[in-house]
Amino acid sequence: VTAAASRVGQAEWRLLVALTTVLVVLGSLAGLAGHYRPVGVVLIAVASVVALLDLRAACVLVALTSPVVSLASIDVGFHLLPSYVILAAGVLGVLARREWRRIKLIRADYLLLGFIAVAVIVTLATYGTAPNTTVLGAVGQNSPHLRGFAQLAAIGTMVAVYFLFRAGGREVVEASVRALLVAGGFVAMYAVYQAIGQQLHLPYTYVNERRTVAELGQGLDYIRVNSSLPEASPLAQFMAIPLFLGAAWSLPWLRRPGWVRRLAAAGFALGAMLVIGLSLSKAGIVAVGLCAALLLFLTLRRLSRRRRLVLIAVTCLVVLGAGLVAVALRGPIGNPSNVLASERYVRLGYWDSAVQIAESHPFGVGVGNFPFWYPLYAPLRGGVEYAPYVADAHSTVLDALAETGFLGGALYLLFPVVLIVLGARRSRRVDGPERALLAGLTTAYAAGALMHLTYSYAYFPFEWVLAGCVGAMVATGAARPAPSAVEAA
Amino acid sequence: VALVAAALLVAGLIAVLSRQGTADTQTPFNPDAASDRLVIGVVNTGSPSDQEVTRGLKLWVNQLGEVGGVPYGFGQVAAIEVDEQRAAPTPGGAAAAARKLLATKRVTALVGPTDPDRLAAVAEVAVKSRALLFSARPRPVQSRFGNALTYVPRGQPERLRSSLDIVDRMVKGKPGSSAKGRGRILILYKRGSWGLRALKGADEARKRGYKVKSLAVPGTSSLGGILRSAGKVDFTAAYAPPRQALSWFKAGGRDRSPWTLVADETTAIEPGLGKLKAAVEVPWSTSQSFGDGLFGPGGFARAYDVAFGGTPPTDAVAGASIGLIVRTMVIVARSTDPTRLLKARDATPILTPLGPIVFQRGQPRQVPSVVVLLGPKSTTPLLPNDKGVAGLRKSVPPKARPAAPTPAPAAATPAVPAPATGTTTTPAGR
Repeated sequence: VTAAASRVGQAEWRLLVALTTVLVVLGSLAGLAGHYRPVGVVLIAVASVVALLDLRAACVLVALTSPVVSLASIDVGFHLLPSYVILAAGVLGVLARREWRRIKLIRADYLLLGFIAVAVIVTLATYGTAPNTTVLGAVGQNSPHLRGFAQLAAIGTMVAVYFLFRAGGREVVEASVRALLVAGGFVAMYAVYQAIGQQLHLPYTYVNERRTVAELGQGLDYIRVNSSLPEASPLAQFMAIPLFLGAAWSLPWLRRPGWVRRLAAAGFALGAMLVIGLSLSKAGIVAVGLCAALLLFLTLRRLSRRRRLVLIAVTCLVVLGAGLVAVALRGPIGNPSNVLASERYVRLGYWDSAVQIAESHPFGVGVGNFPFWYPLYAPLRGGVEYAPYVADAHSTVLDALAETGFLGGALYLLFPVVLIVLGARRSRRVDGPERALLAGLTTAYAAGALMHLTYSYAYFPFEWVLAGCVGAMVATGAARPAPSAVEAA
Repeated sequence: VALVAAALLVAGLIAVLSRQGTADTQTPFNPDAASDRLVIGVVNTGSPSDQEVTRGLKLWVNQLGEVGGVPYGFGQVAAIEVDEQRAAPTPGGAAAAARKLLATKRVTALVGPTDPDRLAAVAEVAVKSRALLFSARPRPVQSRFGNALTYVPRGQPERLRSSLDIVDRMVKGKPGSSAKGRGRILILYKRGSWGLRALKGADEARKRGYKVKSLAVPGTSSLGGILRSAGKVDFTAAYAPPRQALSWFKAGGRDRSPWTLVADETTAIEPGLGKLKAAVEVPWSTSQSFGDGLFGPGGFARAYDVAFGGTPPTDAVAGASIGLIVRTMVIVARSTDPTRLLKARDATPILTPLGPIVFQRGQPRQVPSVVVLLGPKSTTPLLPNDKGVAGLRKSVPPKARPAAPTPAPAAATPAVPAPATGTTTTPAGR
């Protein structure tokens, strides 16, 4: 709310800060006392009422909870509960106030809607055809008769995040970006704690540490401090947002919003880079290298042939350097084949299976049904991993290809491509702080899309927040709202 | 309206095509019972053949239990168990036994009877229950049961492959021999089913470029005349019941060029040999090592002798091979999921005592046999190399040596994968 408060006066803003601080302190104390459930429920309820009443508040709350989606223990329920409840409240408010009419569809939207239509049709049509494989032992939302609908609901929810921001339009972007930066601070603290905590064997250190509930010790509830970021790459993917925004605002030839100082911008960029390094995510490091070049391309208005060559050469050097760093972080630098071999072992079997499934079922096997077909198509050769309990193809695009066929796969692949192209075009045409903001957001989204080629789960709300912000800026043009009282202050 | 209609049409088309795409996929098998514990149910109708298959499989599974099971995947171990169900010697009885095994014992795979009608009845039950089915029938059945039926062959020595591999080595480099005119082969046979088998052997020899003369032998008394009329040959093969083939060998064959008795097993020939040594082409040899390392060379024969007495017949070896095939399937599939097990079965050659078997939708492709030099209380596999060439000559007494061609120089890869170790061992049986 404090991040969203661009419309309120200075006095109200101070009051909100004070109230929020009190709530956070009280909530933390109650949490430490073991009352996670009531505190979690009360906080979610309060946030949901706020989200229901105001679209901008809804967007900011969704953005704030998008990386840190599990401040409550799993006793409260599904770990994405806060995001989902707040989102549902926001969507209800949008529908009640008919704010959805403000959405001006762009080309990427048609692709996303087309994908959703194909996904729904294929999932309904293939209901009950999940083959009898060992994965059938899965229960709950992963059982074969529910998984398809559960996954479809998850994708639908993420699309709702996207269109919530599209309904909010350009007005909600800046507040949401501030919310993402605030959340980025928490994620950075979390990442630093992970890095130090793992060395000191402190509790709740999960990143790159796969632990079972049994390993946590007696009397310890399983609280995933940040369950959308239990692994290295999603953490690095989120930190690409402060990295590229900070980098864009640090570039001397670009203008930044009034509420960001150049020192703060540099701090965002350097801090985020540090966290990405700490995450040891190879996909993250390589994507950052490639997308740094994209950011430069988007921010330089005129690129002569010489400059273009220099940019390509520097990109190659950066990517090479990033690759070497990635190799050095995960193994002896003199033996890069080990790292490559391990990546190949982990991912190639799933990619191969997804392609095989798509070849045999060109119209898809239904959303969420990849794990049931996987044992039938997984390669037999010992050089690749075979783990039937792994539920994804280790690539969102290949997941979409296997589950929704070539048509769905193509639509799903084209959505980010078109959105990035539209965002890139727009950012090269606009001036002022708008240019840096859109370039930073587009680049951060491109980095995430690139990283998703090597791992699955398109259910991280923050990437849809990012997509919604880019889409909103592309659709509503470059008009910047008048500075608020807070910004003026 | 046109737009909505078109959209609905496209949506319907996608729905129908995607539904069809998943529906026409072969229905996988029931994995419910298979989780680190594979139970193989044997339908035993009491026939000698079924008895031996059960014995062989149990012997193999007991040996597997000694080493703790089949390791697969990420440190997992699958236990394989056998559950036997006695059945009335009728198709109905066999089907009832299969149903009982599936319902009460939760078996993942069935081993059907060797009788074709009873096997068909069990196969109907297996297909309906989506269980795997193995069969150790001497001859393949027409597989209308699709992928589910794994036919474990008992070997097909009638093709004369392994003997000809050795002969190929002998005539190689011989003056006058070429790819199309390698030499002369004499095939002696008894009329009837042995004659049909001889026909296949002759076909194989002709394919390899030999001139073949096939002659039916009415009785041992007429053998001398037949051999004289045949003239000089490079190799002789005899297709007849063991005792008769042995009497031909003693009557005149041992004075001639190397020859092979073609038989289903060595058991019936060995007692009649006395101090002689004869080359016999058989589906398997007692001294062969199982591909899984559970039994060393001759280990299975010794274990069988300890458990049941005597030399294991081919049916028992086929039964043990079923276990070995299941084990290989689990290791290759890295899973106990039956559908994946079938995928693994057809993906790799499986080394069994019956030779390396390559399956294609459950039907074995080429099944090589082995040639052994059978002597008093010893069985030596003759691999197609210099040692094998020399071994085959041992079946011919020295006085007949001038008739034998000069051995070929060494080297060259054998045409058929070596199915056995080269060590000479003495089985504990007869």
